[in-house]
Amino acid sequence: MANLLEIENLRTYFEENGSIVRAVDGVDLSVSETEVVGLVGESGSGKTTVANSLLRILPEAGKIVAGRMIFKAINIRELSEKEMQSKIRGTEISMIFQDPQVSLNPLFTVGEQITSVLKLHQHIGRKEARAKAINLFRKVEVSDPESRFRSYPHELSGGMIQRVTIAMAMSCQPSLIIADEPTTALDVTIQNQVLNEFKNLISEIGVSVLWITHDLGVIKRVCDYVNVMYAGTLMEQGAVETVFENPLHPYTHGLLGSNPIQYRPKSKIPTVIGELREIPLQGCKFYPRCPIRNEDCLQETINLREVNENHRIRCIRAEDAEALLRSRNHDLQGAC
Amino acid sequence: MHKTTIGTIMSRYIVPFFAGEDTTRWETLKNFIKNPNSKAGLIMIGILTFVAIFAPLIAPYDPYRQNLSESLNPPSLTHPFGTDLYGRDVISRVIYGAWIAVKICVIGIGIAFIIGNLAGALSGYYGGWIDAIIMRIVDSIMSFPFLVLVIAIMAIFGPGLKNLYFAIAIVSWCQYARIVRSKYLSEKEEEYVRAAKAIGFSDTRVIFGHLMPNSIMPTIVYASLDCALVILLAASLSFIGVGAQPPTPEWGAQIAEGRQFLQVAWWVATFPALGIMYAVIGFSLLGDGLRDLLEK
Amino acid sequence: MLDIIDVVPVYTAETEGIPWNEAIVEVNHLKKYYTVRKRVIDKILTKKQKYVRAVDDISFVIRKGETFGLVGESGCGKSTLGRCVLRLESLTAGDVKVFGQNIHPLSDKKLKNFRKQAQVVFQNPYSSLPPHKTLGNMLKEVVAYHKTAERDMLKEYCRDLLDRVGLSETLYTRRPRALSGGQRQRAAIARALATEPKFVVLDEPVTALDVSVQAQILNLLVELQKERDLTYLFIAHDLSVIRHVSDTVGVMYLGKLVELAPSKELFEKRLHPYTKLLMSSSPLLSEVYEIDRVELTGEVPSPIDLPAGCRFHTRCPFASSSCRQKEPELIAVNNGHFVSCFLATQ
Repeated sequence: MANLLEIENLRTYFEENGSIVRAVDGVDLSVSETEVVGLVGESGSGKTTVANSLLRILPEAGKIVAGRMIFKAINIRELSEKEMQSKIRGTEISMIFQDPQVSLNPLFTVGEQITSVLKLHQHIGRKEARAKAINLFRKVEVSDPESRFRSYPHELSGGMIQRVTIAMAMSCQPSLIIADEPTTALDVTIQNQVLNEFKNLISEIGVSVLWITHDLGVIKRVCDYVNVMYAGTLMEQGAVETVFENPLHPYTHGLLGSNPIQYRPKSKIPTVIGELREIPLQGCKFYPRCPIRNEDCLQETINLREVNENHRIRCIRAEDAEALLRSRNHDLQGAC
Repeated sequence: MHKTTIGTIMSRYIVPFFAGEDTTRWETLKNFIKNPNSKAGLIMIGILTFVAIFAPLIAPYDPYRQNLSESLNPPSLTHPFGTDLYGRDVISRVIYGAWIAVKICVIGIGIAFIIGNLAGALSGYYGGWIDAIIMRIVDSIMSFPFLVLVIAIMAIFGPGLKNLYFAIAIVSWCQYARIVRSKYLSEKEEEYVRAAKAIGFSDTRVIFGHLMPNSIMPTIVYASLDCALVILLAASLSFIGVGAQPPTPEWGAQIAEGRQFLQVAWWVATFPALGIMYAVIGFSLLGDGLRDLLEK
Repeated sequence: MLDIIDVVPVYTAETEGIPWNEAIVEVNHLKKYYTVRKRVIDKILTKKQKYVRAVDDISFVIRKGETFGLVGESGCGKSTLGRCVLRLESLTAGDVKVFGQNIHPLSDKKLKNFRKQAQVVFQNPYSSLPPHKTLGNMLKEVVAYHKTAERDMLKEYCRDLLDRVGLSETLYTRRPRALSGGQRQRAAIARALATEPKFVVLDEPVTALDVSVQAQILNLLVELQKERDLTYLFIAHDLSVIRHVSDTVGVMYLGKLVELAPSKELFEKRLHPYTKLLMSSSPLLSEVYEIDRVELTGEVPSPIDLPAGCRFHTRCPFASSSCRQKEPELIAVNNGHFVSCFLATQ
């Protein structure tokens, strides 16, 4: 079965002050029907740029310089702006953004905003759009939908706005939803609620989701498949259970080990040292921070390789189990 | 204590605001100079200032020396810009005019800048009755059309260059106060100000050591553009006779003198006018360049 | 009304060695209300003045060398409380004693000394450092002002300080704009340490950082506390983080402390329904401590129009009629464990 979305060797570069920033530097990613695929990475990993590249809503300085983005057998990188607008954005692929306070227009009621989307893409009248919208609100568990319909964004809480945004994203029955940190900006208890609701909705409707986040806990709860991103490339990818149970790439290993809950209070947390700073020009991008590196890691290019069924990593030393054990006791001063 | 060399003042207040990725002082200055607007502006104003300061050395003749036998001579090798009605060398008068223009900017705008920044800082930081008093004064002054007020002040204190500086300063400081005040109002809510207070720094130190360097740039941009306006203003006032008095070689005054025989001796009025144009363009470009950096 | 002595938790074996009655910070019935601007129509109709009760009668004690973890979601008032404790906000009622002195009526001279002893690290690394100063200049200014080091040793002292928080020497001449979030937060910690304080308030110090950097900074903070015998008031909304650093934990909800206990006790017993809810919202925590999912109902009330009775009853799955009418008090249950809930204290 062909995949719904197939990203091949995507490269998006930004021009800043005369130098080039390789935000996305060779990403291969796929999403199949009714699958929830996670894209996890810290700040600066380039994950949001992948989403923006997909919908072609990059800022001025950004450009897709290579790669193909095949959605339903069409390379959407080659579509014109008009085609993207009318056929893809909002209808086939829709996006949910992180910050609830800024993703809606403060001058219009939420009802007006969602009906405008419905009217635009589904070519229906005002009354029909309103009925559909209220129905959608009910579905995403917006309490008292009729009065919320008439509310302005500033009158709603963060959780409520995110629910509205989710409703808007689902309104035109897209095949793929890109969720860029949809629950990160919410309070913990609300985050939990919205997450559960959204998860149920996804499985009920059967839509595919590309879920972008920095929170591994969320990935574990919601996703079927996970891609771990660092400095513009994917370091590890595989089914969620496989990767979480057996993280082979030292970066994934370090990330998973960073959560303090696993350790005794006030003990030293073994985490990844340093920060995303200089990236070596060739070889492994994680080299400066890797606890199990050696000179071989700076060779030409390191490719993704299959280590198990449906589990790929970009590392040549991961199987060196002894090295991994040593990494646990590696000197962990967070010096920069 | 602060050293008073221009370099330190620049690096402490102006350059830090431009701080980009790599924040060594040379890098930030280089960025500023790369901008075409500021490059052109800097060169033009640089030349202007140089000419102004070294006027006594550059000018071939004494701008006040009259020689009636050479009255209204067209441009020639001995008098590149020709002579005026009284046989005075025009190029020398234009060069000294540059010196006067620079003086007007530095003294007039300089005083306005200092008073305005101080008033705006206190007003924005403390609020309350200090803010109320200062802003009411500002509102009162600004409710008069700028030109009208300046003329009125000149009328009270009499014409002449010295009073002109004074008049410009009195009227101009208000806009600086407003700009700085609004910048302070927003900046003082920033966390680094709260942090500075948490360290225990006194109000004075926070206002001048922490807030001022971050709030001063908009007024510097405005000052540069203001210089252009003020040169025009001074020229206009001198033109109508209220500003610099003859025989002062102020550009506007020169235009006034030369206007009457524009058809027979175009050079008397034209070259000072070109001087004004040059200065205004120079300051405008500089201001644009500064504003581009402000927006970065 | 609870007397201050009653809210001092008893130390467990893990924290022995610290004399239990050496209280560095005493917060007594602290209240901080913000007045809500009246609309003209309200003034005409002479409606009652409304307040945002950011901190509504909170009392607790922090002892020398311990970390008091203050946890709650956004809007609960924890940051406001942190600022009140440092006298960065005025108080509406109650008092705060630090090192035995009531800090709000302090004179200017004594205030400067207080500031030297009690420092703060803010949440946002992107705005809490002065943008126009290099790290070196920023630290030098603080050290010189509080005379932490001799004139001729200034530079060396600052360099050593940067090194201790994990920043390389080259950053001495850099401005915040050139630094990453983690580096800036380290610089903020260095600045707080530059006065050689005894007490540090950490207001969500790791919230804005990446997961790996978060862990690095937590390690740093724990080390520094041991090295310099510091006392921390650690404010956060992430329970895993609070669990890692705290000796005592206070859970805040809409301006009140709903539960207060030594850390281990709180996580193991978690008596208040809100504490249960917070813990169950984190899958890892609920797994480790074996908590069942708490079903949530209702909306978060507005801090201006607080519900009658217990503030949590609008969302509490166990709310009874008495919860809707009376507000529960913070009562000792056992071993230094305090809860404000009718259900838990039956």
